[in-house]
Amino acid sequence: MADALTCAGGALLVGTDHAVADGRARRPGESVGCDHLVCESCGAEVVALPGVRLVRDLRAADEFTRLRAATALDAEPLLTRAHVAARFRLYLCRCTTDETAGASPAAAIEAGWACAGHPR
Amino acid sequence: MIQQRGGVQLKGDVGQAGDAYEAHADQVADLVVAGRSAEATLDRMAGGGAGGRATQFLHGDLSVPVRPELGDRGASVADGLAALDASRGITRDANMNNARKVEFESKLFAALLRNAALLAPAVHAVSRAVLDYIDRREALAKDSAATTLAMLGGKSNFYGRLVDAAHDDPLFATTLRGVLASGGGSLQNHVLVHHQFWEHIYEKIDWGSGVAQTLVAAAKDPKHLRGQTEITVGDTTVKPFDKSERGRVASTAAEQGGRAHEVFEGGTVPLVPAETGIHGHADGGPAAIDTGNVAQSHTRGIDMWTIDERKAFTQQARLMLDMPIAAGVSGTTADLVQCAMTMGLTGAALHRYCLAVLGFLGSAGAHSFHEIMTVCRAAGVAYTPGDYRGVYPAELEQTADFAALRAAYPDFFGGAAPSSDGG
Repeated sequence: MADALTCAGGALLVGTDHAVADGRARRPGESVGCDHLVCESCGAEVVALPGVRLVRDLRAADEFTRLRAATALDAEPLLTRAHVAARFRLYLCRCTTDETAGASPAAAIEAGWACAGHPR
Repeated sequence: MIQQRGGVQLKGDVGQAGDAYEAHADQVADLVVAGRSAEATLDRMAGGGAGGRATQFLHGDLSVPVRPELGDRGASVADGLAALDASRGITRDANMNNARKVEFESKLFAALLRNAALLAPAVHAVSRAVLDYIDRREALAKDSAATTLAMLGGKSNFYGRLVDAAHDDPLFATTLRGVLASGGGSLQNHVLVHHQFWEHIYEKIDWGSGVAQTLVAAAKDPKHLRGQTEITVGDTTVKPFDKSERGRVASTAAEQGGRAHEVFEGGTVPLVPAETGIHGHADGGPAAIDTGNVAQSHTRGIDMWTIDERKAFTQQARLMLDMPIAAGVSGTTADLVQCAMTMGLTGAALHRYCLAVLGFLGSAGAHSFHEIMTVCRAAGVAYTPGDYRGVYPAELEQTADFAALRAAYPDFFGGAAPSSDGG
């Protein structure tokens, strides 16, 4: 979309201590997460699940698919809500996962996660 | 998912890996050299001994052209390898690595773990510094030290050494504090905790918020060492961690026409990851965290990544250096070594820490010698690319393990190759 704005200074991944900017780009100096990340490697939009961590690395495509569509997170055996997990957001595309507490640049993800523009 | 309810116990001490690992490494190496599958032997070791892991390196498309920086080495990587093999009589494994060097590296990694006691002081110094950092951040950040420690107990990862879900046990933080302070547990336990600390606390929470810069006067960007890592190919200097040069398919899929991560073709990891018992294998050592001996998944880096044969790092390793490659230049090494440097290690202690990382990541099936040591070199450790000599401190050279290595592979220690040498 021609008039889309991307996150200023690069998109951020954030834990639950930080908000995700709802439908808008990150402004300069803001510590808010991006809600429109796309993976350069697999082409999938990145999904964020707050307050959970993985119990192990994902190993198969169907595990990615299942978690990306998960709505009942408490019933998902690949996820844990152990007490420190409340600080994390679990991000996943179709080939890569990342758990973040605090805030970190999406550009650090090796598969290539980047802001795909706001609004969608 | 493996639930642990009995707290966390660390057994044993460093440097106790048994001869079973060496015997296993020998068995697998023999099979590799003979060109036979080592799968059954690997299964028997349940998670791979040091020798087993190296047999499953993956290679990419060898028909890609040789980069001009390498000079006249054939039209394609396959051509270049064929020429090299014809001139030197190299025997290759199924992943196109020099089989004899793979064998040597397998035994080297095992030897490093068996002599972990010589490397442990450096590793334990980092552990104590990490614990001190965690205690000092309590006053600056919102997290109590207990919470920070609990955050270090993440999911199992490529190295599989922290028990799944152990971090929800109230005893975890208390036990981990004791381990970090006293040096209990295995060398691998400590190194894995350092990586969790670096990734989840230093990089993602404390760097962006300025806490790291407040607590450590010499704090640098968490990716600093990656940026410092360079290779020289002909007249060209290349930074192998740059996105355009990272030698893994996963990081370059978009450049290759949007191809999905090769690991997931067919729906599963192509080489089935090891389901490991937590006890009694080389990468966990005898001092691994006790989960009641239940199986724990362990996905290896070698299985997770496919080499991008177009990259300068890959082509230099294959065609100029003849060094085994597995998953590309090691980012985990960069994280760990920068963590150690940030926590104050320098000189001989940093050198030994790097060798601990070499033993840890090598035996875990994550990376090859060259992929790890290229990063250590950027941290100031003596490593001439492609040369196994000069890397080990005198006390390691004097061990029985290194005497055996020197006898079996004299050419990798500056002597002549045995007459029966296949490469």
